Amino acid sequence: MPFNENEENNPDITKKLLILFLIIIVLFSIYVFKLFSMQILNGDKYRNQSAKISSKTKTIPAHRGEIFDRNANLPLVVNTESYAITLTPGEIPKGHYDSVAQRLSKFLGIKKTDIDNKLKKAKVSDRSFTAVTIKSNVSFSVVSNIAENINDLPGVSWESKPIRNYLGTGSLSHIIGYVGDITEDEHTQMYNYGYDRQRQIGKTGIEKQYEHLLQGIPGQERQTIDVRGRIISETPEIDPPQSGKNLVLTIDSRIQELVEKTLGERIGASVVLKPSTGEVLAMVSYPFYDANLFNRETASEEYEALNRDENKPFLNRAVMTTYPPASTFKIVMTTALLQEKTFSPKQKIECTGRILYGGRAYHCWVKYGQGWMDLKEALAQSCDVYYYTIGRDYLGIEKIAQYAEKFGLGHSAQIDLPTQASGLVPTPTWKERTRHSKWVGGDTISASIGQGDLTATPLQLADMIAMVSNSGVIYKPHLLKEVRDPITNEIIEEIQPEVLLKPEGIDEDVWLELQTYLRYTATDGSAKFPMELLSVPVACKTGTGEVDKYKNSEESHWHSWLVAYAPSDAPPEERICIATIVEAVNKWEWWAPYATCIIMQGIFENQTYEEAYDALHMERYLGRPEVRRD
Amino acid sequence: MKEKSEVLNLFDFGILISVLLLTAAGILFIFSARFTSKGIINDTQYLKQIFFACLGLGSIIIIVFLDYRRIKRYSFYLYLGLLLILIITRLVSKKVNGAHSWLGIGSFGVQPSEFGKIIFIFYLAKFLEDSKNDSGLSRFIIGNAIMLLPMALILIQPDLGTASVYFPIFLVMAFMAGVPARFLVFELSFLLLTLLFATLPVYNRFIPDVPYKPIMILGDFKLRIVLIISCGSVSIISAVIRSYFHGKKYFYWISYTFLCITVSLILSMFAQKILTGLSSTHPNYEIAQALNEKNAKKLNIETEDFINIANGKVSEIELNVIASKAGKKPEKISKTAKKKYLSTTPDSRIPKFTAIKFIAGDLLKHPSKWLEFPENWNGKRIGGYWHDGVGYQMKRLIIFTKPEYDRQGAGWNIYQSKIAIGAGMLTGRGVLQGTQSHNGWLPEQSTDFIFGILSEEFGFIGALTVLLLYLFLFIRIILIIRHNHNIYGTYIASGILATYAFHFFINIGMLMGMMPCTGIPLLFLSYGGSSLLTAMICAGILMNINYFKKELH
Repeated sequence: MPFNENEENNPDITKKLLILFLIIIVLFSIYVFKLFSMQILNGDKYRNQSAKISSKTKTIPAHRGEIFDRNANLPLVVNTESYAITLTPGEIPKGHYDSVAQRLSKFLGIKKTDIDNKLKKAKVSDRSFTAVTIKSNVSFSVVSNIAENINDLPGVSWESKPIRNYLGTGSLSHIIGYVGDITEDEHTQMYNYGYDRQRQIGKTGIEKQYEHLLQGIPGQERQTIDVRGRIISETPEIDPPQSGKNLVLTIDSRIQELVEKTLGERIGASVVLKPSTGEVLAMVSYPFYDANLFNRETASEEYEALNRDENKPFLNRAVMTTYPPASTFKIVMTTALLQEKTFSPKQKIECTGRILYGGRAYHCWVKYGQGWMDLKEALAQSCDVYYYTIGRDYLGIEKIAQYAEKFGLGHSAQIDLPTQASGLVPTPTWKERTRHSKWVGGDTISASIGQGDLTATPLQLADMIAMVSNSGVIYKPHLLKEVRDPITNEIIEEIQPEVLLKPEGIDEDVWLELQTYLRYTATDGSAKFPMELLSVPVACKTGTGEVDKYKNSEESHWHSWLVAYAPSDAPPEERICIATIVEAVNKWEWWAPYATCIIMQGIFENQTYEEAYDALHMERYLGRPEVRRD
Repeated sequence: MKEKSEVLNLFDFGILISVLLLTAAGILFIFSARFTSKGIINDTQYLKQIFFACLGLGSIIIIVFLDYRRIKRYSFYLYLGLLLILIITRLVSKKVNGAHSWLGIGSFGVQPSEFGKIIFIFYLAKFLEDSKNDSGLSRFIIGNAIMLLPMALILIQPDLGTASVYFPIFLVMAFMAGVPARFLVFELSFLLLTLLFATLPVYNRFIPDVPYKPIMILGDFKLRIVLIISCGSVSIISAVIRSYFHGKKYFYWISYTFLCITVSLILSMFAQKILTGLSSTHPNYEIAQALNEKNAKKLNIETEDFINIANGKVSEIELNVIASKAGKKPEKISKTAKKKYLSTTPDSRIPKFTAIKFIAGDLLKHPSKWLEFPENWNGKRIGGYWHDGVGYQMKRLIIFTKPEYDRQGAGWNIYQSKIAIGAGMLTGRGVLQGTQSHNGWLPEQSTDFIFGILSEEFGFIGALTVLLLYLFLFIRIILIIRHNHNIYGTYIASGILATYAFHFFINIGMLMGMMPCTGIPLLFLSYGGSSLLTAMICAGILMNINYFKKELH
């Protein structure tokens, strides 16, 4: 020890030296402890940090799953190889930037100033080793041109950025949807699922609904970099990406195309279902859009234009728009009456063309009345007065609403799409709560013929007719049929039919009775023409919806509905259901029944639209119905 | 003449060996620092360092056998010469790393301020010995003057790091020479408090997640005046009680403490200005900027023009052009701009708050709010990321508390060096294997941050060895002083001890994130001919003192 030797110095100096010694020892101990804590106790933490700052991770995008129609042979969506050209300013030899940028701009067909701006926007310095994307969606030929001249283009590189190519018929865009760059909000939501900001994400339709199946798991490429971002490691560490699953839809491309053509350029929607499973065979909403527009340079302008279009092409009318079901609602009314037995189906009511209630006249669609009618005839002829009376005097709004809900109206159809409307079944409580006014008899009268506040989507009405076809069951409508492995094509999951609704308290014979009524409607009722043209037996109900907007217009404007199933003589497993609406904005053609006819013909005779059109001699009838039909 | 065995006995091999070991380690890591990831040595720094090490070793051997006491009578002239050279250096030398501190012949330059330390130590030792019988106060004041002259000349180079070493040398030597400790403690605490009061408000605004309420008093000009007056009053009253009313001894210490606080509070305001750079910015930069923007908008002119007009940097023609664009009269614009311009001047402008309102209002009513203080006095949290207005020196002084805050800027060095040290773990990554250094992450690797490479490549074992070598050196110096019977030699040795220890603790403390960022190298290890040569000459002097310890007994 320094202080206990014999050679005594000045005691004052010794004391002071002791103080200095103590200060040094205390500080020194703190330093050693700190060093120990950093290197031994927290060494792992610092080493991880060191690895983190000095490695650059590049994401290798996963192959997004492809989508097929129910036959699983031809894809509806594929990934097309596409390239993005990048520029790394730090790799360009000093003073050569201008010439490189000039040459690159020629290859890409853009201006040199565009390249300057891109670099400026990315806020990278001239010596940075961060690659900046100059142009995406570059074709392979441009890339191969650049590759041939790469010696003249130091710093230029390309990366593969596959794009989604939608091959199926146009109306599929509403079903499949599209993908786009992840937004800030989506990124926050999906952060925990490992999404980074470069990812593409499903925005609508199946692409969004089954994002978790389609996305796959991106791989990673790790490289060691130095402080300037230069890559040092010779070979990168690679975690390979895992491709997303392939999806097989319930959609039948042939039927989809048939329905699309049949609907033609008429604003409206049509849904074709397999009632015994809930599989959607076709779902068309017009107008639709081209999902490939997002791959084009002009994407944002086109998107804006479509967004401003008053016909709203991005709206999937089959599931997102609600319409008054009009006379098709008489199916529900008839079921209620048959089950409740408050009024005998055989008893007749005279239709005089209108009834008076609460100081107002409620008209039948046949102005001068249809005479004495029983239930079967009233449904077949779609007599409004009969149903006004039944609704007001023998059922009442509570019963009507109760039966409407048994048919799934007012509740989501739960199809596997991200957005869908539920429609509305009005009740006195609802009216009180939302409108703050009392329910009046007139409201019941309107509801009895599916007008007023009662609304439903075309898909819900397809479900309604499916319920009749199935004698009391609705299977959950769905678009996904199978999930398949992208490499082996093995079926990983097959979607099984699932009961959506199975209301209690409706007897079997009620359904049978209703089925004969609906068949009678097609053979002798309002839909006699054009259903008689078909060789396949159809059961159906027409509907003509009043639209307030056109009430006083000169021209004829109504929503045209038809719900049908066929063949009515086959067991339910072999049937298909169709619900079609042609909106009132179109020229009045009473097109829904014709369309259904063509679709039925096409499906059962295995014909295309043109063949079915010719087989039915449709050209003879077109343009005929100037007056209202129901 | 001494016997041969006695010569060997008195020759201090301990110091020589530890110095040589440290220097060798330094050369190795200077070599390592210049060894890039691609395996190319792109510098000859290590060769220069070897050259200086040899020169240093030669100096040690020569110095050991000269008698240090002979310099005593020339030390005053050497001191004058030092001042002269420092003036010349400031005037004629060219700027290197932002300072005029190099006096060079060709590519070999020397830093007079480094060698100046030795001359300063010699002259201060002579003064302290000569003035043994003078009053403590006069020794303190003259000693300070001796320190301040060269220090000021170095400060204007400007080289804060080298200048700052003169202060601990003075403190330790004066302490050993019996200058009353209360003066020295006062000076030290006054300096530390000044620095603290100057940096705390800025620290408080940016670094903690929630600013500390009591510290916010320092950020408000009016409140600070109140604080200065109260502390000053306490100090004066205590002094009066002590001297006129014969109060107890502790009144003296109360007066002493509060005087120290008062002076620091006053000077820290100037220090803050110096540290933030004497530019026209202050910590409420964003607010002033926002207000300027607002006012410029009102006048319908660009913010930049607004500021230029207010500062009179716009010619008449330009002013007319701007005015015609804005559709206003030039005189009006110029007048309003000058009046409304917020030159980001004293803190008092914003936030507008009176001391009375503060004391009577918020804090007395809600004492619990003292520690949770998410908002500013007038309800606005002055937050935001720090900006250039904070000043480079100020940032460097603060950032060590949380280098992650400004990882890309002022915090980069400390952030990277902490990672380098921590990543070394127990045994290190191995020689030439450090990724922090070889991939360029660690800055100034061969000079100030050399301990970072050493710790990364040799780990805790290597770093601890270096620390222990230093500790050995310190203890060895203390022992030399202990056994020395020449007061002059004792003072010189304590000055050298102060130099070594100060460099050691400040440099390594900075690398481990415990000390503010200052440009002080680690002696023996850091690259730099002047500092290595100085450190080795000092070692030679120590050995020399040891060699002659028995004489004059």
